[in-house]
Amino acid sequence: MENEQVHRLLDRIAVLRDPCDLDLLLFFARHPRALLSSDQIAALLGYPVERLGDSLDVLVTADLLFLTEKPNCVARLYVFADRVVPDWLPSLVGLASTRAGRLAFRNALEDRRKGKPPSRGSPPDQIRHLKPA
Amino acid sequence: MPTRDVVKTGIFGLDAILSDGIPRGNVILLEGAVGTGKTTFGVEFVYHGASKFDEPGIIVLFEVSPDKLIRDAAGFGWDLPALERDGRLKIIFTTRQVFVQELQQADSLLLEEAAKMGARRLFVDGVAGLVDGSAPSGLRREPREEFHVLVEGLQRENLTALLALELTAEPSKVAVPEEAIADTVIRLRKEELKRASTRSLEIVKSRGHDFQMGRHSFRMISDRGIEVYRRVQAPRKASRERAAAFDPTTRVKTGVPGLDPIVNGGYFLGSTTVIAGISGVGKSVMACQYLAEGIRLGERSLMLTLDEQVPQVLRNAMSIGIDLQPAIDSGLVQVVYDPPQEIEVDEHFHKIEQIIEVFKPKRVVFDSLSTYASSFGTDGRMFRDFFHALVALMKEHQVAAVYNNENPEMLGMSSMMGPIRMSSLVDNIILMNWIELGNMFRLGLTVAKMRANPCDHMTHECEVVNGQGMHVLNRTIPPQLPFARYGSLLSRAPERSVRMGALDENADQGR
Repeated sequence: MENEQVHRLLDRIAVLRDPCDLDLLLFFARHPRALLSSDQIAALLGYPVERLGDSLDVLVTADLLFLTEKPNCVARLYVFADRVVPDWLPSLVGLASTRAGRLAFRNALEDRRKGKPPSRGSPPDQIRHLKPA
Repeated sequence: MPTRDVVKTGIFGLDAILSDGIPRGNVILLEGAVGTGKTTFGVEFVYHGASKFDEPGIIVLFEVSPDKLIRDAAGFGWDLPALERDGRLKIIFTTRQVFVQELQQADSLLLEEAAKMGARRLFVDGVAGLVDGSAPSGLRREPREEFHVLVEGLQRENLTALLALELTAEPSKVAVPEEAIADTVIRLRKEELKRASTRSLEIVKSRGHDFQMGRHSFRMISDRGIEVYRRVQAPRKASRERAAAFDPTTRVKTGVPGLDPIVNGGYFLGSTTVIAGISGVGKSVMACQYLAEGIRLGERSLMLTLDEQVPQVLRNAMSIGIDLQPAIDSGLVQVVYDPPQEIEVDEHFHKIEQIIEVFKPKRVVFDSLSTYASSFGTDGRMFRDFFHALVALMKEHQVAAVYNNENPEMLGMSSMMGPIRMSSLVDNIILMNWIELGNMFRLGLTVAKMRANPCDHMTHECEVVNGQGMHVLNRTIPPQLPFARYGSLLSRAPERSVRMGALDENADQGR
């Protein structure tokens, strides 16, 4: 059932394609106003800069993330969900706040990327104890 | 004279110590070791600015995650997300490297954000490492110069900036170059006292205004935030210092039958009376009678007890026929208990000040001075300063204050106040002393000192009468002889007078 919850949520969010997208979104949920360079964010999250750049584009394109930059500044000011907080965000943050929950989302995203059909039946071990937010 | 433009911190008790606030635009260095409360202090500074003083603010974080900061602030009752939604607060997560670069930019993103929202306050949580020379070697500056560049960047925007600096050693033992450049330096400490731990705050320097020096205690209290208590030794208003001249006519009755005639009708307003004696002589009984007399005369009365909790005081009073509860319910009496374990002197004195100023009692009993002495110690200055401050407070408010004091000696007294050598500060001293006569202990009461009053210095017999409290007797209780028939009553071995003894025998033979 929890696995189904994860898939339903990913269907609603729609824009998330890669585990890095998820981790970046969770990072900005915790740090909704960050003045950082993309190198620094990549280092904090443990992804290659190129991969992180793609994920930044995903969130910006989806109007979840707004950025301000200046020619002389290495860092950009990233503002997350400044205008409207998406209604799915608390559920996502709640479910992904545990190791098992985050892994469930990551596995689901990996499966989707590889074109595997979503396993909505029996939940994998790591999300058995998941509770809705 | 122009009005000073000051920034109020809004932190309970602090603005009074800062002479109303900190001059606007000052760069404030808040230094202290881990766990001293720097982050809480900084967040509260910005929170009050945005919520009370219409001064939007920015909090800059390097390591602490904003969601944790918001969670912790909620524990103090500060709703940071609400301020963010209203555009009065921005919490920005960044790195030290970016922050330094930003403040050195002519068109900094950070300062542009500050300008856009009209920010007046800035809190940077953790400036240690900003000046560690991490810049490329060609651009590296001396730490002091680096910090100066940072401060210049902040001053361009006329922000009142609070910069938290984590110290790993006592500042007197290390050079802190930032201290010389900052306009205001506030040092937070966590001090160990045996197994207890207390927090203190010291204004080390502050340009452009006066402030109260020394270490002031503070606490971090759930749902309220930081509360700073001015150190008990700090000078109060001039009226308190001048309050020694009290009303020389009004007497406050003691409530103990037989005692008022001995003390010229009662204690003066604003006077300090110590009742000294070993445990069990009836000091607390007399305290209850003092309150009861206040109730009878409609005078507001306060008992501050460290030794017994309120229900116990009420029960003891009831046993001598005094029901304090109706007077407590009607607001005529307050009985306040403060546990003496690890009592914090500044906070405790602040509490007493608040009660006296709001409740305005005419009579106050402290039970007991000896418990204060054992809590604060009598060797150092703490107890002495506290007692001085207490006496000055009572005189300012013209309170007739009675302090019970346990004198450790059971028979006889070799000093009036035991280890508390402060009898010069006290106006009246009443000694309660057990006297062994024959096979009985009998209780003697001696007025040893009554400042500006005649005093007979006689030892009077007294006793606690079942259900009625203490009574001072004008004669002996049969079958014992009156005290007048003995000599050296306050010595450890009183002797029956030979002459009087002979008279007694003659009298006995004549019967």
